[in-house]
Amino acid sequence: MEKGHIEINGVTKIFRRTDGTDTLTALDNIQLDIKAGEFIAFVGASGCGKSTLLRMIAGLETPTIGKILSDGEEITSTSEKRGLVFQDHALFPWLTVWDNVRFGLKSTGKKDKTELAEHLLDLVELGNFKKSYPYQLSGGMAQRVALVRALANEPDVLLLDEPLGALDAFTRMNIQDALIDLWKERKNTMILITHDVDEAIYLAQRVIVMSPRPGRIVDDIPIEMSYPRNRSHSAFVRYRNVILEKLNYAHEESIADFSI
Amino acid sequence: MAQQKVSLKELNTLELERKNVSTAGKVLQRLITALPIVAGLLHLIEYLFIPNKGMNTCTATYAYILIFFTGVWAVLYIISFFNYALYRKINHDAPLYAVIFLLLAAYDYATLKTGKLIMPYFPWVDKIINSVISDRAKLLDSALHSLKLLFTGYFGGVIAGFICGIGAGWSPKIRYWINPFVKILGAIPTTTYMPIIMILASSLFGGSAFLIGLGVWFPVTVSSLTGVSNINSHYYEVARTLGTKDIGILFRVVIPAAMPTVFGGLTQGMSVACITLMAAEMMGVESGLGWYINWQKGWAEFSKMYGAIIIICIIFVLVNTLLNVIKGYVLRWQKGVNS
Ligand SMILES: Nc1ncnc2c1ncn2[C@@H]1O[C@H](COP(=O)(O)OP(=O)(O)OP(=O)(O)O)[C@@H](O)[C@H]1O
Ligand SMILES: [Mg+2]
Repeated sequence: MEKGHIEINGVTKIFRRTDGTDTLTALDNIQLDIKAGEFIAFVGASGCGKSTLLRMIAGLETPTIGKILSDGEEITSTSEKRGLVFQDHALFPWLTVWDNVRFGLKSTGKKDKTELAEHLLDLVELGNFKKSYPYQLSGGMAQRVALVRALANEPDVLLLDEPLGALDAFTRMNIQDALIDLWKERKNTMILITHDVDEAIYLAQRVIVMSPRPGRIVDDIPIEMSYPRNRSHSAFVRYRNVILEKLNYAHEESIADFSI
Repeated sequence: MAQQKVSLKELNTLELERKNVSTAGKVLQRLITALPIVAGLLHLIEYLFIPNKGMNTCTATYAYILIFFTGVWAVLYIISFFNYALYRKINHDAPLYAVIFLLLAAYDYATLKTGKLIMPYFPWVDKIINSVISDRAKLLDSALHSLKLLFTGYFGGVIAGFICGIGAGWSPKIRYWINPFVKILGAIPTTTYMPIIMILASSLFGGSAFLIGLGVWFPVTVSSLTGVSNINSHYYEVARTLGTKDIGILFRVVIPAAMPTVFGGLTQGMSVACITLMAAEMMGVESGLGWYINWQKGWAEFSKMYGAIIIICIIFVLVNTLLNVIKGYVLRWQKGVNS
């Protein structure tokens, strides 16, 4: 059986305000099946619970109601099988690039299995920067190291929370291609959160559109285009229009909800 | 992408050279760099050729020392014609050292040569140096005692503070028990407790070391605790998703991430330790430089007293320099620390 299958079963997440008086439903009854090796993207307005969902898949939070299964087993804590990359690269500044990349290998007792790390670092064109410290890297370079650090551990699932959100458009496109290369190579499940609809269409096989307050899935759109995708292709433009419309619609509905 | 390895230092150098300074300007800078040699020679002439006032006597020792330091500068000056980095450094420091030589000359003139500043309160430098030399065995012994007490107390305090601070930052339970002590003890200077220690402690050395440790414990605890609480939570989360367990996170994430803040406490702790050390030695401990200073004061041996004060200053400066070197090494990953 292929690894990296994620099943989200009726997940609701309710946060309690710090003073305990009020509650906030961040996610409402989410139902979703993510196949092993699939590249899936989530788009949706700010505050619709994307990060919360990702953190629950990582095992950093637990659902209030419902369950998330990873290869059939309920997720109760973090695991090296599910790697995570944040928008701020979160590289350990006290370690060199190479030590950052090997961080997980040391934790999981695979200290000597550095071929993959080495190979991935070359793949993102950073083989020459092993000895550099993070402060010596540009934002885009650091983010590529963060991707390699997560992938060097051979996770079945890679969780990406707006990993390219802080980068300029050019670097972004570069790393998007690197991401596809990495995914083709590792064949792992990719779960990507993004604010950039084009990015979602360019990368993912499926785009999930979410609406806020409470966070719900509005639509689930398979992108049937072969890689590498062309951003000006008519199909691409069509997908973009469909998704933008859904997002707008979702937005209006939420405003309507709000005013009631 | 491979070319981004030009360091900040090199960039500065390049920029400086690009500024296209005129030849006259360059010569002027070379002359300024030679000023300490001129000032050193002036002082030497002042020392050797102006007659001493009345019964004042002096030896050749100070002259040798002046010759030595002036000579060192002369050698550096010659090398600097071939080494641009050295030139930049000594060109920057030259006015300062020249003024130091001149101030020493002025002091010598006001004491040894004219007696404007009266003895025995203002001994001239040669006299101080000679009394240090004549009492060197005792001074060395005192310095070693001081260092032993300083480091025993300091390291005790650092270890205790580090463990308490990291523990308190890590676990709310530990924090609950440590916080009140930090709040109460931190507000009071440790020298306040000195009399209690002098009465109660079975060994004055142990008591003083404890007091120094207590003074160090506080800033180190607070800085370690702050260091841990300010860690970006993404570090923990990424480490956990990389398969790192609690102990690994403590040693591989929490401690290194807290280090920059901890070093603030280590530096502050060192200055508290030096203050407490002097207070303890002057109030009760019957050894060490603090005691020596007080003892010589009692005998009105002011030149020995000054000598010991100068030695203690040098020791404290060296200890702090050592601490900074260690800091620079441990925090070499920080932007700006090693550039
Ligand atoms: N730890 C928490 N405690 C209380 N409320 C929280 C917590 N984490 C998230 N929330 C709330 O849950 C909602 C969803 O947050 P989340 O971060 O998942 O949104 P998001 O879709 O990732 O938004 P963005 O696109 O801005 O990153 C928000 O209203 C937020 O205030
Ligand atoms: Mg988010």
